[in-house]
Amino acid sequence: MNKAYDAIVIGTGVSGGWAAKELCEHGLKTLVLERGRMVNHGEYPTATKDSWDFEFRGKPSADANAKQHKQSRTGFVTQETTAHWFVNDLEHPYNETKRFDWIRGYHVGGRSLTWGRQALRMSDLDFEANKLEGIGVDWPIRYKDIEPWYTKVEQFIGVCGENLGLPHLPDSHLSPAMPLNEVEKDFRDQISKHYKNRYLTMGRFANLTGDTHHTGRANCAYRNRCMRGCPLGGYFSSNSSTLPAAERTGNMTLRPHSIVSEIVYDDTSKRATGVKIIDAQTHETLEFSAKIIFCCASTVGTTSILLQSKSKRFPNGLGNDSGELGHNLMDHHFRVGATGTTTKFKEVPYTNNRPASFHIPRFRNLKDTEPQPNFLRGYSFQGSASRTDWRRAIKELSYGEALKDELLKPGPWRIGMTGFGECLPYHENKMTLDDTKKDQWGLPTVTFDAEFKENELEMRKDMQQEAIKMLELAGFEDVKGFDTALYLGHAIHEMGTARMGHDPKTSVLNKYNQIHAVPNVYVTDGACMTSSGNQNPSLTYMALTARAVDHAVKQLKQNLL
Amino acid sequence: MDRRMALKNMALSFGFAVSGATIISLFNSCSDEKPTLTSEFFKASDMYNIAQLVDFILPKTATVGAKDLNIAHFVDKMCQHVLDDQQQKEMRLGVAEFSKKFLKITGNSTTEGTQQDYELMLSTYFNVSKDQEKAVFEMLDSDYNTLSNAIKPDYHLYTFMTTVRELSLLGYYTSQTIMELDLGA
Repeated sequence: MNKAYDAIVIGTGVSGGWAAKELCEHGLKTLVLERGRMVNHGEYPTATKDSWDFEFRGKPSADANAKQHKQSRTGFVTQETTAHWFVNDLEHPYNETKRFDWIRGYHVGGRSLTWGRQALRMSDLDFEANKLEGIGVDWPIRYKDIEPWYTKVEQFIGVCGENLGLPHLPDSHLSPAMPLNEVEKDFRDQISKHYKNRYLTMGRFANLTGDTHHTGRANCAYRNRCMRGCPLGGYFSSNSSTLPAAERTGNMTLRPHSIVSEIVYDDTSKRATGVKIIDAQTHETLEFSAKIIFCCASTVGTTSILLQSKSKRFPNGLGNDSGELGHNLMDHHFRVGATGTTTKFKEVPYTNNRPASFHIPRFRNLKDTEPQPNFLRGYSFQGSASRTDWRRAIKELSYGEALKDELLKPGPWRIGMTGFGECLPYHENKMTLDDTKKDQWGLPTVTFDAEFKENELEMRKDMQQEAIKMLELAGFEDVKGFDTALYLGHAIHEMGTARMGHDPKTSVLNKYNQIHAVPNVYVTDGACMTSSGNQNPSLTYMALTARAVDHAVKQLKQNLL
Repeated sequence: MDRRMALKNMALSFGFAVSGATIISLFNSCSDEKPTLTSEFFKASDMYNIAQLVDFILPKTATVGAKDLNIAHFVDKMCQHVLDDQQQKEMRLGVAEFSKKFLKITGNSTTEGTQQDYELMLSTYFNVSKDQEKAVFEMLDSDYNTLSNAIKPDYHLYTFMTTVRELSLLGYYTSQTIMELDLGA
């Protein structure tokens, strides 16, 4: 195997896949490193299984839960249908000063296989907020800097949905939206009737609709089993999309089972020269060199690698002149909202298999609304209405013929929605490395010490209250609010630990995602985020990655790296 | 109704049901063939009890019943492999409490119990008002350590009965037979 490349990409999730594709398509010989196992597109063991094919009908066994004892706290990722996409917590331990639900998928494609597929653009409302409010540091970019890259990414990955022309939810390059059902349409109409600045729209999802050709992929077939992997390539994942594109160039060398232990820094050239890896299977140590390195190992993964990369010049981790590396850890807060039922629309045809939810874009603290007295920033809602199934009878004591026959029929419509709220960057919310607790490869383990604070908790009160109010105004019955105890990590949008900024004294990365003092190292996963917005962040990571590759290639051509 | 009051009322109503039970049990005469089932979690004698319960919860009608789909076996498998240690402990206490109450209410042991005995047990504990039903689930959702000793037997009994019921529904409604049923819709 070659030891020298033009570029090295660490990680194969949404960011790594994009870095690989873009670098390879620009003609760079690129080594793509993945710490986990190989997963070729189509190798999705549960994709075509039905409920009865699972021994425990989808529920995790107690043994499986013990192996994923931390991730199973979320209740949804470690089901029998998807547990194989998440790591064994016993083999991959971490430490919690405060509880942190660190959901990890160590395999080619990473969490691009299991992501929620909601693809929303951020806007200047988000990019300007830190500066206007004096929170954290200012984003070094504005919407105009990322706008063409959002378009490029959307064109390639395929995003369906509806444009609303809202300044705080910029229009996207979209294929036709998936349909709202009758209950959701009625809710949309009621919201429009009662509110001036609230809209219900179909969520923007990275599932293929329409007639645009996407190589090797087919339109979404509404199987609604996306998280298991889609043999049709109906939704975007690295495995179905970016990695095959990179492969087609002949420029990619993909190496699974490669745990990066260190980025090697040369103080003479002031550049990184390559990476050291440990082969996860043989425990052999290898070194590869390259002109540029893209860190796309996920927020915590990348930050760990940088913290581990100590040298005389960087005793506290590569690029950590500011001391901010590992700090400002954010995640969205959710699982707060409301549910309701309706006895209407019993006769309309329906299916419950649409792999997408409706979206109510942010309506708090916009430029033209009264500022909220108790919190900064805002939130959006995501939800859906569906006919209930047999599970509606779990919390009953009914039995016998009447119950059995009743549950063979669809139940009443039920609607539910959860807010997704912005989390502010707090310096004291952090991850660190514990050198006294090593993993099986001798690498330090991560310790999390982060919590949601007053701004998020105050926002949650409003989220629940507004969800209840909207459902009640729309005429739903049995409306109930919920606010489930929540910990960082649970939304699987962890971000911010190597933030972008103007000033090397207060940030890790510059406006092109380069480490300020080591310009041939780019960080384009969630670690780079300066603030969180309320939008699902993957689309932004992909756009920033494509933009950063464009910058890197131009810099290389000018011999600046 | 506040929860404490609801629980109190619930206990009272069961007291009534228990005293009525002995009369009804006099009419029991039917003796069914008792199927033998291999089991992983429950004792063989308890499997008889579970097979009877699931058959009353999901009886055979124009569509297949729980017995046709061997749901008792599914319940046993789930208890063995899916419940954690604490849940398993509670299920064992629950099945013991069920046997105890069964004897008290029907005058028979669970292995000697007739179909009518089982029907009586179910109607005693499941055929309750909506308020009582709500109180049962509030009790099951509450912290066990905060429950009074008088309530704890009910907690164990209902843990067992509602778990058997929920697992029966899961096994039945996610089975191939039911999922592929042509309902003429």
